[in-house]
Amino acid sequence: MGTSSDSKAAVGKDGARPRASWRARLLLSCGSLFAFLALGECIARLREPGPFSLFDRNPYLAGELPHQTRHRPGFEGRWDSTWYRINAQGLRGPELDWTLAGDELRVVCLGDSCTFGKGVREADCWPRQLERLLQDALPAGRRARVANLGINGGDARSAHELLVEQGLALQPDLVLYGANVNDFPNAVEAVNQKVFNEAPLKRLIPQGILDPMNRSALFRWARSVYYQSRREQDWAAAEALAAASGGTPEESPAWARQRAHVVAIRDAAEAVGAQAAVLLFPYESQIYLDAYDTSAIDRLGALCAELEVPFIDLAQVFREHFGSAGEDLFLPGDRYHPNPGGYTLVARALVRLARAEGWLDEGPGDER
Amino acid sequence: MKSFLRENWVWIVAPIVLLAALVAVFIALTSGSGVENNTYNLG
Repeated sequence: MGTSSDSKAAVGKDGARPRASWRARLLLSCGSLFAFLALGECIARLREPGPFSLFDRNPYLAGELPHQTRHRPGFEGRWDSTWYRINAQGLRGPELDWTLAGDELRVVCLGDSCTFGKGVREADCWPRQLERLLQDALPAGRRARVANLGINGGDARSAHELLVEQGLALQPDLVLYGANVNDFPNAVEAVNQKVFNEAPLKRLIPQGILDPMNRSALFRWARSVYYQSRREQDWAAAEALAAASGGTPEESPAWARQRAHVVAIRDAAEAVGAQAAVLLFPYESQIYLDAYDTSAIDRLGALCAELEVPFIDLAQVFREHFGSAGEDLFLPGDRYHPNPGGYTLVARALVRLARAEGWLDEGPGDER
Repeated sequence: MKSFLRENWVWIVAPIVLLAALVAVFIALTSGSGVENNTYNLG
């Protein structure tokens, strides 16, 4: 508590308080900025799913591709708005204590960030929701076992590699490949590339600067708010560009590679007596607009029909639900990663397919 | 303390507003359609 002499000392000769020095003002500005950033970062981190953590930590193995696209076994921590809990096999989710006995319906899920579950809790990604729904649907005495082999940034090639490296050893009954519109050449993907590359500053800023910014939850939140505010005009722009792009090219080396990987996934699954199925995740614009480009869906659907592999057009599944319920199915400020409600629709669609195909009554692997 | 804050609130608020504006401009100039390249997180 100050004395009366202290109070007098703080007051100038004319009775007014002396003005703070430039150094004091600078310190005040720096202090307030630091406090704002620290508080904002903590609040932004609390908003993200999973336990609180002060920093992002890289969950991927070091080294060259494809090594660096594999998770560190046993890793637990936050990265890019997602809480990673990686098991001993390097996969997202709990340890796989599978018995590999005949009473298990074993499912291996392949794909990218939409299968991994970027931005949602592990319990909310579609493989884990599928496991719960399958367990409810299976007859007594059978256990549903679902492994999530999804990797952020993955594609058909990495999906096939992971199936061979790890998935087949799990003796799956079902192999489900979650493809994404951005995995292969098509009009929507071309628009994505065009718009992404035309961002005026992004080309000039090295990834080494952008990456550290992406590790700030506050920056991620600010970016998502910006994206969310622009989403309707972005959908319209993307679909208009897609329509004007001339559609999906008939043949290209990139599509030939995509096709070869899907064929390889089907063949690898069949070789171990498993049934393969493919699902295609849509972009937001394909759900919320009346007219949208279907060339990517048509192309992958035609390939699956040719290969006699069941195919789920998730754009249709999402559109039907949005038309009746009207609720958002994607993460805020994101253009293609579903939210937990979106993943629930994916899991339900797969259970419907499993019922229709009779996979729940007698697992394909039972004949092995 | 109250009078100190009353006299110097500009120095508290200004850097926050300035930073927010800079970040908003940065995001606007480095964003495409909002479709992020999701491979950066492998780095």
